[in-house]
Amino acid sequence: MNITTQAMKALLVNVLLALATAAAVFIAIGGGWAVAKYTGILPLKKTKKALTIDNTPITVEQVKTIGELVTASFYDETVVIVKQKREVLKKGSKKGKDTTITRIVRIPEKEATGQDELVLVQNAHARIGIDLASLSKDDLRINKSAKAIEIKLPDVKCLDFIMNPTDTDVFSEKGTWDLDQLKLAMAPARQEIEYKMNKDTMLFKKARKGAEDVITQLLSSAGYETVKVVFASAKNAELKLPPVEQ
Amino acid sequence: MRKTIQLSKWLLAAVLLMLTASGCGPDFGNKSRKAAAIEKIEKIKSEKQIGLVEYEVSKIVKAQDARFFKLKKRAIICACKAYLKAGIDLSGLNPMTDIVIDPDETMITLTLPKPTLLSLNMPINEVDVLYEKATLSKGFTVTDLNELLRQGEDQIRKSVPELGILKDAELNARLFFEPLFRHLGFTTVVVLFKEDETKA
Repeated sequence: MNITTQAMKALLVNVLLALATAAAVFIAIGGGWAVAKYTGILPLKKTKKALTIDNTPITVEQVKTIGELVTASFYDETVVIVKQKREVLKKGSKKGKDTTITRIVRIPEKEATGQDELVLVQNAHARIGIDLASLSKDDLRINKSAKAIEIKLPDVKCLDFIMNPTDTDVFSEKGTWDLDQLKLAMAPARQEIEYKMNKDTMLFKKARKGAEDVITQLLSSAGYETVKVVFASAKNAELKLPPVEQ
Repeated sequence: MRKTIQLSKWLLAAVLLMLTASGCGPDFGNKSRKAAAIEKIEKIKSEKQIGLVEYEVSKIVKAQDARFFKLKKRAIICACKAYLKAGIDLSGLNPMTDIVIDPDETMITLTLPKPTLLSLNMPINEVDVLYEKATLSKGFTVTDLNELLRQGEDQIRKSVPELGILKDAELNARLFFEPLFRHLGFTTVVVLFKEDETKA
């Protein structure tokens, strides 16, 4: 009887020890994994399956013939910080469903933390040049015998202002945000970069000079010895040569 | 019993040692690689490009995933538009060798660089979410959405050779330069592209 009890006790102790060992191993592995994940010392995120889009066709909606001479480009970036909170307008529930009506209220950037926050690092790229499609025949004067040519160009302008998804870096996102709110958040970034671009006189000066150089080089290569390029926006934009006879 | 306790201790120590040794130390190599790539962009850059054709394209961006034993599911379908411009980068044109005028000055041969994609514009204001569903999941965050749109932009960019925009740019280059040089007094205008040189 005593022998059986002792054997039972020994067995129980062994089972308990085995269980304790298993628990210790489990805690060690789990704890180690949690610490590694929290501190980021193991590249655990890389094992996560990345979100990828399906391959879908690209439909050509419209084809347009253009004639644009691009002579300068402008790059800039800005940081947008948007904070908002949800204000409850009407609280309620019906058949277990939440019918609370809320509205989103934008709050000043420097107000208390703990609200929904979106931080974007926004890059933009603008292409500056001339829309050659607006050139008329009267803007070109030629004197073939004297190998002289004059051309009046429309002024340089921003032909493209590009802010693509690859130009947007969502640096921080706290709370609930959707596409419409992202669009609203990006609007001031566009305004700011456009303002900086329009204020940059050097940019438009460089674009004008570039256009003048390209046109002069092209016409000189075509055999013209005297090439005069003027911009319609300039004060003395009159062409001296007579119009080309049709 | 002592043996079992000792065995347990050893087992525990071995597991802890294994965890410590399995790369819990800082990854110095990775950090140095990250620091190496610093991109330099000029704020204002001179260009010499002639845009000749613009394509307006549309694309459906769709994605879905399931996590935690396929219990947490989410799916999204977005419609987006992009504007692509293609043309000639004149910085690859050498007027001394690529523009040739015959001695009697009636024929000009222009050898242009091959057309390239000059710009791709995918405005966020022209992106619409058509469908979104989340089961036991928070749904798509703005970070996720931006990542999906980035992939959409990338797919559009990669599809350029098949779209036909570069062929159209070639055709438009001929339609642009031939009348221009005829207007300048040449009776014969030959427009070639750098790859065509051998064929001509």
